[in-house]
Amino acid sequence: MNQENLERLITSYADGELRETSEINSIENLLQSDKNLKFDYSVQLFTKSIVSEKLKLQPAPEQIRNKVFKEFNPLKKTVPEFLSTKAFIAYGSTAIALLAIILLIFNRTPQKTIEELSVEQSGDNNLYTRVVENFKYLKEGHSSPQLISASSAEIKAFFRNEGLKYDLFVPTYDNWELLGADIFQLRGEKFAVHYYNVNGSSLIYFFQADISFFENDKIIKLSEDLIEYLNEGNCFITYEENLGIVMKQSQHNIIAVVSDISPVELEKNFCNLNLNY
Amino acid sequence: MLPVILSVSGERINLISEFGKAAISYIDGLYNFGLRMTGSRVEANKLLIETYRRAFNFFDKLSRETDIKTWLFRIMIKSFYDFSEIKADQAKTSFEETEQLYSKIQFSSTNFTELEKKITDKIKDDELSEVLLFLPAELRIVVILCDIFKFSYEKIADFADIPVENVILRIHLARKIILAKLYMRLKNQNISDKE
Repeated sequence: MNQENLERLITSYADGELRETSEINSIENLLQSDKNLKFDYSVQLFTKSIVSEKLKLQPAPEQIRNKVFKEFNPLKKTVPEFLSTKAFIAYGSTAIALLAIILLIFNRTPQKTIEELSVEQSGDNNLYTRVVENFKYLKEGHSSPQLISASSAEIKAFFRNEGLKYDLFVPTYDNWELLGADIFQLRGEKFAVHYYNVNGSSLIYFFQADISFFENDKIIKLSEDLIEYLNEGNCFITYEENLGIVMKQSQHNIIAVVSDISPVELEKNFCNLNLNY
Repeated sequence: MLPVILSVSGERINLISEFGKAAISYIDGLYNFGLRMTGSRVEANKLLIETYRRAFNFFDKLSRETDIKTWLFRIMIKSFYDFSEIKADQAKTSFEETEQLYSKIQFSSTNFTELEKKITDKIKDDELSEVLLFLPAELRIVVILCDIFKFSYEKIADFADIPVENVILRIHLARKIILAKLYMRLKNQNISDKE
């Protein structure tokens, strides 16, 4: 039996896909006598089981489900009675005008502008408002970080010890020094915040939270449109009162950065940020 | 003019309705497939939307007998290749290197069960997910469909549009590469633990 045929048999046997009794008997005999083949078989079984155990299926995120549903689900696309064919024929020119308006509406770009997205952010547990408030509070000297450290490893350890339940990333930069970290608490949940000192004059506030906090009970909020905007891979960047605010989704975290550094620096460093945990 | 517009609009609504009924139920499966293929939620979302858009554009050309699930997975695979054309090279793995490593594991591990236990205990889910990304796309597709989705060889052959023989050989090779990569990660972890 050639090597390729053996590989085919051993894998099919591991996957329970061998049908012929003669082939099953043949492979079982070979497994008893051939150590190398037995090793191959063990590898096939093991990798199959580790992949299926560790990488479980999960439901599609709510935002993406809504997006697909909105676009293609018939139940969400019910046609009002006044748009029926009979009504159109009956109302003639009015119908044409109405149709024109509808076409205009549907042809509009659905994505909102940054300004529109900014206006939508409000409320006590809205991420946007909270990170801006927290930044100002710290910058004005009303509080100081719980942990003072310039070490990325130490900051990560601090988050771990505080029991943060999601993967975290603390990037390091040549020109900015890590300053420390805080645990930001909201409705009993803990979130990671760390800071950078920029030449002793400016501050960078870096918040990150797993996207599930925005999806399930909405412990922390962003408007649906902004979540969708980030979910599509866009970088949200805006400025108010000399502060720059960047939001981005990277892997399964939503990141919010607030800083008084230059807008160019802010965009360059955080809009293209890809987290490696 | 008006009747033409109305009839087109009515047809489109019917089409959306039919498409919605037939295709939406596979959203979780397609999302998971996209997630494991790309290793990123954002990329998976983009791929999912692209798949549904392409599917919708061709939906009216389908015959009644078409298996919608197979058809959607095929579209997603095609979209993935188009989508990640630039990144395709990143996933290249040296087969020669894998074979050498595999032989090394085979002849150095006196107790494979012990190695299995170490890998299971020390390798995190995210790391395993990353390891899948090292597989060339044609191997990643089949191993994901077989080991995560638990589809039969025949179904995978349908999805990937390749003969069953190729499916089996690709799964075999993919699993060998996965073991070699996991072994390397474990070894690196041990080195950094000792440091």
